[in-house]
Amino acid sequence: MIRQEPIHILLVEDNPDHAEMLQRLFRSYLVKNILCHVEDGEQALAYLNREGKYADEQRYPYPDLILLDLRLPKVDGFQVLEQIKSSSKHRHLVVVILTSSQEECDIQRAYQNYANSYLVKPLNPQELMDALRYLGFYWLRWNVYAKAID
Amino acid sequence: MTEPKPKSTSESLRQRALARLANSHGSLNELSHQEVLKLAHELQVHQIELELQNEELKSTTAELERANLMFSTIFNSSPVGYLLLDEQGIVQEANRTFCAFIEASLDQVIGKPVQNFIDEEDRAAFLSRYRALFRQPRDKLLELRLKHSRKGVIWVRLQAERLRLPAGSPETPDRARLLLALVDLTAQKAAEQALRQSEERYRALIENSPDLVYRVSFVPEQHFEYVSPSATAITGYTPEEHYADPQLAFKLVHPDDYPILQQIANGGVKPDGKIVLRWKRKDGRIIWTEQQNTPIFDPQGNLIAIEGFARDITDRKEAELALENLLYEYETLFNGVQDAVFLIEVNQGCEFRYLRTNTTHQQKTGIPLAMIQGKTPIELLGQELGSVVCANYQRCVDSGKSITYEETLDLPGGCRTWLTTLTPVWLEGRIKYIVGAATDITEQKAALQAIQQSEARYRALFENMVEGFALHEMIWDENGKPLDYRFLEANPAFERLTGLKAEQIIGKTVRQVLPNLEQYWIERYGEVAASRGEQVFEDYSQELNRWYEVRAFSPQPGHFATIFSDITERKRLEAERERLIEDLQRKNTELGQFTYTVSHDLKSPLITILGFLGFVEEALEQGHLAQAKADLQRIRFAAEKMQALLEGLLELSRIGRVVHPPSLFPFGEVVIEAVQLLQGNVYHHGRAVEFAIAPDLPHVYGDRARLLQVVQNLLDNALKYMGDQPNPRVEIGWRELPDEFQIYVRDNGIGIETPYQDKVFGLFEKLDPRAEGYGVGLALVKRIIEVHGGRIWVESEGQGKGTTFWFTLPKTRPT
Repeated sequence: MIRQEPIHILLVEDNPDHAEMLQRLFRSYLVKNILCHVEDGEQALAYLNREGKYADEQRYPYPDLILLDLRLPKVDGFQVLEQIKSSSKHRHLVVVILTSSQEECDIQRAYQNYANSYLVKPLNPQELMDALRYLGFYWLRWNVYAKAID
Repeated sequence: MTEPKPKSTSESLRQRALARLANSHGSLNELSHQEVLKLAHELQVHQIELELQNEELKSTTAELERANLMFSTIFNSSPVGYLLLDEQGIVQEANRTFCAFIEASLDQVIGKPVQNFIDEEDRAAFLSRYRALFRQPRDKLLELRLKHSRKGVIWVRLQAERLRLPAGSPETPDRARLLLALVDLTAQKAAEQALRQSEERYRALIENSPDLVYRVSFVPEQHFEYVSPSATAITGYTPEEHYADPQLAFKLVHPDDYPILQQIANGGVKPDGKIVLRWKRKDGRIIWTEQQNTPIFDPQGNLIAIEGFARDITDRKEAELALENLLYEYETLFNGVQDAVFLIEVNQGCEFRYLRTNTTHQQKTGIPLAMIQGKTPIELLGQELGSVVCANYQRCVDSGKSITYEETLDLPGGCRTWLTTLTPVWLEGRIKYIVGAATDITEQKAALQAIQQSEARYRALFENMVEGFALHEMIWDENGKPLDYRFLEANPAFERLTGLKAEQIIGKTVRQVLPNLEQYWIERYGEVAASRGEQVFEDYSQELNRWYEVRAFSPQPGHFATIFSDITERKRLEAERERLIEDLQRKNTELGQFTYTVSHDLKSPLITILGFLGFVEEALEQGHLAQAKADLQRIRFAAEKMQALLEGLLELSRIGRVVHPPSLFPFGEVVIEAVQLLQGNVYHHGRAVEFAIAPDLPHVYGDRARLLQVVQNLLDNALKYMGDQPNPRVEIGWRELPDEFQIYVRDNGIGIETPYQDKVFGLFEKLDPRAEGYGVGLALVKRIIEVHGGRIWVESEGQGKGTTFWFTLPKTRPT
């Protein structure tokens, strides 16, 4: 079953260049989907919990998928993952780790904390695009998501 | 009746003749003349006859008197006492001998009844038999006792004879006489008595003798004729049992001795007569007897009896056997002892001659007994060696006591060293023998020498060893709980290491020496001494500021020794190693973190560069030049960031590698220099930052250039996070602790929330992604401070409350 309606993606990325790159790629290939971007873990948690400016549900829709970087200022990616997966409210969220780290300890720790997938940012931009494309095909078109619990 | 009395006799005769004439029947008046003549004639003749007769009579009388004298002399001189008794037993006549028997005079005897002289004991018997004796005295021999005034009685043997009057004489009853001949039996009786007593004594001797006296007769057949009562004691069989069984001796004799007994029974008695035989007593015990047998032969030379006595010599025999055993034991001992024993005879003039040597002596010296016996030392050993040996013997004699000495003698049995003891034997007031006992100490001597050498070596080792050594004796209470211990020995190193002087502690207990010593030491050593185990532990002495390794072991029960070695250096090296390992681990962790950070943070700009290069290409293809330019700008920034990161990394690694030698300098100078270097940055949002610098900042040790870098970075950081503070202020101050200075840089900027305070020092860590810098500065500061041996931390009460960075610098010069 191919999804017709757009899905909502929350990108948690501290590097503005990377965020820009990803946003462009998403815009080019996956136009139908809605991408929101936050710069650190603190913001990510605030977003999910609709704190502060993120209370605006129209501007900041609840995501179906989170693309999460690990190295983040203040609250890092692992803490965000932990918070999500230990919360009955957010546990259903699909969290895809998107990081430049290939460290085994990071990979282990991510899955230990119930990450749904782990992607390493490829150095080659073509590969990065391919990765995002395939990621998109699978997660955006084929994966079925649970409804958000209010 | 000693002398005849003729006058009185003739007078009495005349009287008697006159009397007779008067009593005669005829009368002269009636006769004729013729008759008277005839008568006269006749009377004349008769007168002549009478005269002749008288002559004859006189001669006869003389003869008679002579005879009478002779007989009376004989009668009275006879050793036999005579009594002439009439039928009534009145004494008619007695001789002097008899009178002498009873020590009475003749007058006291004659005319008295004979019984008067007989002892009352025998009187009645005598009287009752007298009549019969008188009638028929022949062949009757009586023994009886006469009364004696002094002696009481005397024994006499009495023989009676009816006196025969001369033929022709009318034998009238009243004239019948009994002649008693009495022989004095006193001597005989005494002899008999003596004999009897003697016999009794002998009998008693035999009867009571512990010896078994016996007589075995072979006639008609072998039997015991006499067995003394002691048989019962010796054999357990009574004499009666011997009499009852002639073969008893053969039944009792020990089977081994049976042939000897047989030989004796056949008369083959040894001339010396003594035979030792064994017998089985009635109670089964074996006894030994010594017998002396005398064979008795009849005139034809046939053995008719054996007389003898047997003496129980079991005790003697056992003693002999014991003695034999003892001798055997002595012999065994003599030859069995491991000492070489020799006996020397000391002759007058102090000549020494060997008498005996034992087996050990013979073996060890190699001199057989035959070679040594009877020789003097000089004869045996030659002048030189013999003289030395003699001198020792002489010394023993001179001192009169046992002497002990060592000597080394080269004898046929080999050259040996002996420990010799000479003991003089006194006999008859002089030393007659010397007993020598020599112990072969050749090996001990060699061993001793080896031990002495070894001891000397060990002693030297002990004295010179670097390790402290002490030997102790454990003291336990009655329950086996260790109470205390006593110092027995301690070497110089011990003194050096512990500061205790051996001479002051040896013999004393540790409680005396160190009254405050913890009980656990004593318990620990007690365990060692009791278990004979070994314990090794390390101990730190506060006073000496040194570490010791103590090895405690028990060389013998109840004792323990401790070996101390100063391991301060080792400890220091260990600590150093620990520190190095820690350092290395920290560095390793840092390196891991570094690598991680580098791989992540260096990759990030690379991803940006590569990614945007793709966008630039795309934009150029599509003619979007402005877009391409903007993307190229991003690429430049990413490349610049990468460069900055690489420089930061390089700087960081340099801090670890290149350290300038520390110097002492006033910290205030560095602070002022850093502030000056800020130059235009001292303005924040157009407002001048106020710097409050403590005027009395201390002099510190360190790498001046690096510490300048620290202050610079901290000031940079303070200004960077000043936020929108309208009155920016930075304060630099300090406080002093015993070991270190604590210096702070305080701002009144945005502050740091508590959870993120530790993150600020992380490499490439930035709390605000949009802030300037690359997260290298504070990591660098931390590194520099740590290299100086200090610490750094941050204090902030939270957002908007300002931040204080504290760091410490040790007061002492860093090594």
